[in-house]
Amino acid sequence: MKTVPFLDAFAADALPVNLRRVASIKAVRLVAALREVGLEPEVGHSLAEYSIYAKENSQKMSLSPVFDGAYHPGGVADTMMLYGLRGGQAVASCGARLIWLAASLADAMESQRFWYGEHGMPRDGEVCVVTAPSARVLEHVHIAWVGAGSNFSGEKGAILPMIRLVNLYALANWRWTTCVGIAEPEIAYVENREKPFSRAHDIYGFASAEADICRGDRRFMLMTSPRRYLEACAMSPGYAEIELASAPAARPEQAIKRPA
Amino acid sequence: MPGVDLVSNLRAALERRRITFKAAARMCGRSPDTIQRIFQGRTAKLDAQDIVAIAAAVAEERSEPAERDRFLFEVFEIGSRPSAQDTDLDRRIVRLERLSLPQPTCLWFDESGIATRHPRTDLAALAYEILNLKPGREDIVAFACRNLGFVGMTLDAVGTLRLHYAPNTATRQALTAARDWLSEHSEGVRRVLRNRPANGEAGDMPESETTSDAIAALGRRILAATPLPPGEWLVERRNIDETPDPLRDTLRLAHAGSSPMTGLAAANKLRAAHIYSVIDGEAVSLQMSATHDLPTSRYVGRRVLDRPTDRDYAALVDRHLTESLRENSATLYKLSLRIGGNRRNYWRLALPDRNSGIVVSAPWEPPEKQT
Repeated sequence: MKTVPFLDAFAADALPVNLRRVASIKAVRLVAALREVGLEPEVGHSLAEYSIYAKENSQKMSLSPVFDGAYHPGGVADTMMLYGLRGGQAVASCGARLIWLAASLADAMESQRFWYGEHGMPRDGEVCVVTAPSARVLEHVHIAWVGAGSNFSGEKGAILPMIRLVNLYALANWRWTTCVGIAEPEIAYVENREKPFSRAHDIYGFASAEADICRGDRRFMLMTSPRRYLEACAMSPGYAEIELASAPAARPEQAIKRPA
Repeated sequence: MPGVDLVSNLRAALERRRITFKAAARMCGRSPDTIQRIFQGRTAKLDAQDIVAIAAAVAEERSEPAERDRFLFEVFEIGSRPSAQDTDLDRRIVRLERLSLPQPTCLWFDESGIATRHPRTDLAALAYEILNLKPGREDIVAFACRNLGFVGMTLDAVGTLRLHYAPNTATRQALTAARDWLSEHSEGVRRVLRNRPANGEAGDMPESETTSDAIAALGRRILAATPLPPGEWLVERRNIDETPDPLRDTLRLAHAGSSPMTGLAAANKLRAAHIYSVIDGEAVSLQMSATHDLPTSRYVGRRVLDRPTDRDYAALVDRHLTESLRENSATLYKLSLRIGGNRRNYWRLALPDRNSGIVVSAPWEPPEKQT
């Protein structure tokens, strides 16, 4: 797998001067937090390599078509896959893609082009239905699609600094208007009904989660965050101060029911 | 020196020392083509200063000052040939000079211009210490320059100073502190290797220059990093994704040709455009040929930052153009400013072509004005 150290790939050119240095210091702190537990964050740009990695570990993780090298080539300009390496072996991953929406996100998803590219074919009978309102609004803009999180490194909290590093990379290296991702409802929700989307917010950094994106027999929440909002979160004082031992896991240990 | 064939003598002196055209060109700060033209007799102009510069560089490379006089004697055939005794004496002088030179040191000037100094030459180790980070595989010096705006320096035992900074991100405070330090300690510095930027980033392409050249280069970057006058100027970067269709049409035309310039020229939109190149991280105006067949026939003009008037405006243009080329994407600015006492409001569009390193810059009329 061809990777480079995270700090070599990080170039905060897309941020205003006053935020560039703050973001860079936060990236250093997050890298330091991962090094404390023996993980080395490295960046790859090839989706083909990521697909091989995901298939080798298919028992522990699933491969989303958006990150599948069979449908999307990926490259330095629009793809970053962050790997947590231990002893040279990838044990955790997370990634982002910069995507131009020529039509609305909902149209792109429902026509399957978003998932399988121009030439890929969905599985037999697979239909995508989008009811999330934001997906109809996002049109003619660049979005940063964040996902592909997996962690089998042993530290349940290691994925949190990795997701934050991906968010920082997307903010620093790319220009886009909205950060978008999907998650199953049990991942986006917590039991606290007064603060129903805190997992989507606290872990993934999204401002909102909406129902629904239905693809085949699976149902997801559409999570979105305007650039300015994610910027404000990322520049907040506690963003890079993470105690890995007490950090929440990306996936709750028990599935949590969605509030009525 | 009538009857002396300087060109033949120079060629022989270089061959004797196995110095190539390219190395000689680097030593005197000329292009290899210029040196080759001289040797091919295509130009009769041979600058004595260049020969002196080559002689000095040869002596410095070999740490043998007598070599300078020997080289000059061979080319100009004047004075007396330095003897073996002179060489011995020179070696003793070099040893004494080294005793008087400053101790090896390295310095980081952070974004506030505060210096962290260490009596060693490992800049990376000092950067890890400042950032409180365990050492890893990354190029931490490049990271600190490119993203944090730091300026780094190492001075070795023979007085060679290596200067590391990214011109587009180094802060004014860091650059000013570095320039002041260099001015103060210039007598201990024999030559400067400035890490020249590649595509606007800190790159590893050292090129030797004098201390005064390095101080002048830092001065230009200080000017470029100086904030725009408060209250007088309003500069707002606009997202091209969010702009209306006429601009997208222009961009489509720009990308229809082999380069933005030929695309715009073909669409007859180039009349009011200006052509620039970014050389060593600094915007330089170009005069283009009538056929627009750049870059083969481009003529390098002067640096934007060397404009004698409207220095704030020059700094703004330099920043806009280098930013556009570094990001390799079209950038659009809405400007409201005062140039030469006159208030101006307009939009400025920059179209980069990373392959040729050329940026086309043109004013753009917003749709409300066009209609």
